[in-house]
Amino acid sequence: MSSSEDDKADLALEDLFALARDDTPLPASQLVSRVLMDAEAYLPPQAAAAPVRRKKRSLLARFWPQDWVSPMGWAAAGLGATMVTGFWIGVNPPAGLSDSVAPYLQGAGLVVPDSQFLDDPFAGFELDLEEV
Amino acid sequence: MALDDLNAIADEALLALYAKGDAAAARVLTHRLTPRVFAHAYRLLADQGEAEDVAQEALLRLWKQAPDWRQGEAKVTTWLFRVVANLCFDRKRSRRSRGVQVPIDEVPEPADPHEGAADALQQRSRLMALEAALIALPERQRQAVVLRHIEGLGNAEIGEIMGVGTEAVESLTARGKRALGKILSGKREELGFSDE
Repeated sequence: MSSSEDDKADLALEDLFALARDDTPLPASQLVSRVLMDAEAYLPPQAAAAPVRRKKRSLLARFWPQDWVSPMGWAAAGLGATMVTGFWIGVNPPAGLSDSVAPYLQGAGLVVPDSQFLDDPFAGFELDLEEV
Repeated sequence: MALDDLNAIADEALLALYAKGDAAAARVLTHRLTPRVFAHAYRLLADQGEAEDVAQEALLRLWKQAPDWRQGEAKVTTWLFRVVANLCFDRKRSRRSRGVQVPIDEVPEPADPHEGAADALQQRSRLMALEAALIALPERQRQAVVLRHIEGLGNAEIGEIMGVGTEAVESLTARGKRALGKILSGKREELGFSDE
């Protein structure tokens, strides 16, 4: 082919390409429906609303089953109150109680009779306070 | 989001919305991409039914891919054109292996609503001649010519679709055009190009 023939052929091809660009083949409407059905079938589920942030649980609560916390909490509180009351009764016993219980405690060696303290409260330490 | 707003959004952003379960994005993408994907498949296969099957399959793969789509890596249409080409060439190979051949002269001519008008007839026959000549090209040349001269893509994007560099694209396009010219040279008078 000569150069001018090549040019003519090129022009003819360009015309054909332009025709093809303007003449876009169209799909049947059923194809669009089929594609849309596929799209909806594979549509991922919508992301749920942002979850409510849970409060940070204490270390005890994390390892302690949730339904135990309430009854065990009450039991622990009761035990603590009993211990405090017992300690206080020991330190400052009511008058009636000390008379009735003292003999048992003395028998067990847990209480020293007051009379020993009244005589010389520092006798056991052998301190000579006068020298200080 | 309203459909009008979605129409202004790029394919990639719509696909991200689709991946989050947005049904409106699915509708917009379907109506936007189906004609384009079908047209490309038709230009590579010259068969309405097969082109529709390929278009549906390519878009089905897109829906499945949506949750794992990596934004910014590829354009949706680039990815789709690659999938369409692979599906088309697989079909052609399997058609060949089954011994089914569609001779160029038997490429079906779609009904022409303007039949009777001389110009419209000539345009139709020109288009049919181009379609037949494209089908006669080797696959890669046909793909390059269709993408460059009919879809109107740039060489870089064609290279991305075909998995080759821009020089290879230029070479494939040039060889394709030369081959088309040879195929059509005998029909120039018939197609009304002799006096232009």
